[in-house]
Amino acid sequence: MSAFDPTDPHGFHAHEAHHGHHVVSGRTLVAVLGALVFFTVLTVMCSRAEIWVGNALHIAVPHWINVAGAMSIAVIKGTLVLLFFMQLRYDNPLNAIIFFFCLFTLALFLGLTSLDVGSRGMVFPWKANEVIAGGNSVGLTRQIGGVPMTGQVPIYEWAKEARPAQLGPKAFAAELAKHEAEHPHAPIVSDASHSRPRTGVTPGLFDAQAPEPHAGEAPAEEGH
Amino acid sequence: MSTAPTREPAWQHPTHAEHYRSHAEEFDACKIGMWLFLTTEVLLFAGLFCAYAIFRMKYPTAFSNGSHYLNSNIGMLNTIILLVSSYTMASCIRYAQLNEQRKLRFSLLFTIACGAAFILIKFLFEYMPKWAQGKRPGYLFEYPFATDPHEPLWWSVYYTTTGIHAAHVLIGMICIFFIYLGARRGKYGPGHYTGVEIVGLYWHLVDLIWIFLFPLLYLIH
Repeated sequence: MSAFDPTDPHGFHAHEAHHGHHVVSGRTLVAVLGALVFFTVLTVMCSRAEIWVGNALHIAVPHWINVAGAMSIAVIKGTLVLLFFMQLRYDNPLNAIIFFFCLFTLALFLGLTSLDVGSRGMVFPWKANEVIAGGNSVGLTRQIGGVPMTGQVPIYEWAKEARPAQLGPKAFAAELAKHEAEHPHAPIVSDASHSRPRTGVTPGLFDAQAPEPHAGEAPAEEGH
Repeated sequence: MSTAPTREPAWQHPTHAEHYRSHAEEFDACKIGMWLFLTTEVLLFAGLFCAYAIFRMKYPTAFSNGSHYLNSNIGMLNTIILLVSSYTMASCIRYAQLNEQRKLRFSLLFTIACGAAFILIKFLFEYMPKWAQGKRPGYLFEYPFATDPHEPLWWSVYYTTTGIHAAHVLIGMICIFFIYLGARRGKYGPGHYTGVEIVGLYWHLVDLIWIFLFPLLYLIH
């Protein structure tokens, strides 16, 4: 540390004397380029070797070896580019910290998504299947009251039929009454002080068909 | 050098904006700003990588078929072209630091040429033949020999990721061209090479993204 400089109390200029930025040597750059090209050829050869081993020797290489091999070589190449071409090795560490936190965010983003999508089938086998409109219970066979049933409709539609069949009419009526009590629907009234809920103020503009006339109101006639 | 010997090159008198104490401080601030921008670029591609991961997990057969449709020789050639361009871009900073102006200008032009070669190869040998065969994204799909119903989705992922990457290559080439124009005026030298450094970082990021896109699209089967 140098002596305190009253014209520069926070030491903003103290480092300027030796501020000269690092000049990466030409040999380092060529060596890094060589390594990058080598790893590129290596990863392509690995990928082909896995196919060749499978076809010629009839050895099924597990898929994760393919993924892990290709991605670890990509990580090595990316690290070389970051450290030497982007000069993070010689740079202000703050830049590396910024980028590290970005990669951390990326890992969270990809990791948690993969964990979710990749493990859904472990809990509910039908969730492992492809995503289709309306849910994918179509074609799924489940035991309903001891009777195997195959779904023909989306799962929530199916539940409307399966639940009464499982419980029987009496128990289901009790469940329905309980549901109505817990989630009361306001009766749709229309009189002088209650208007019918609808989207928009102009009758017939947003409704698929003309609305019901209000109580005691004569329907509007053409030509008026 | 066309500059008259009496006129000193611009890099010997670098100016800095008034709100910085020194040119060095401006350099550091520019660099941190660029790194922050690069994080947003990474997160832009993170969304695409995430889409790739989800769709590959949901439809592995379509993605396995998809990677077999791609020619890994062309992919390898394009990877090496981008790596070489990254090398020449890193050399540009070195040449500016050592005041080797001719080599600096040549390396900048060579980097642009590599970018152009990358895009030409991509369009002539990949996009155009594939599009003509009907290997197109989403509802444009017309390829008659697909064996998996989700192959249009694979092509959507392929064209989106490589297309956005190619757009970045194009933008990088334009930026490097502006740096080249500055270098011709003698703007960059040992004391001042902020522009070369900043654009170089952008170009290396484009390379970095391709380093990951290449195995994901071409090699994982």
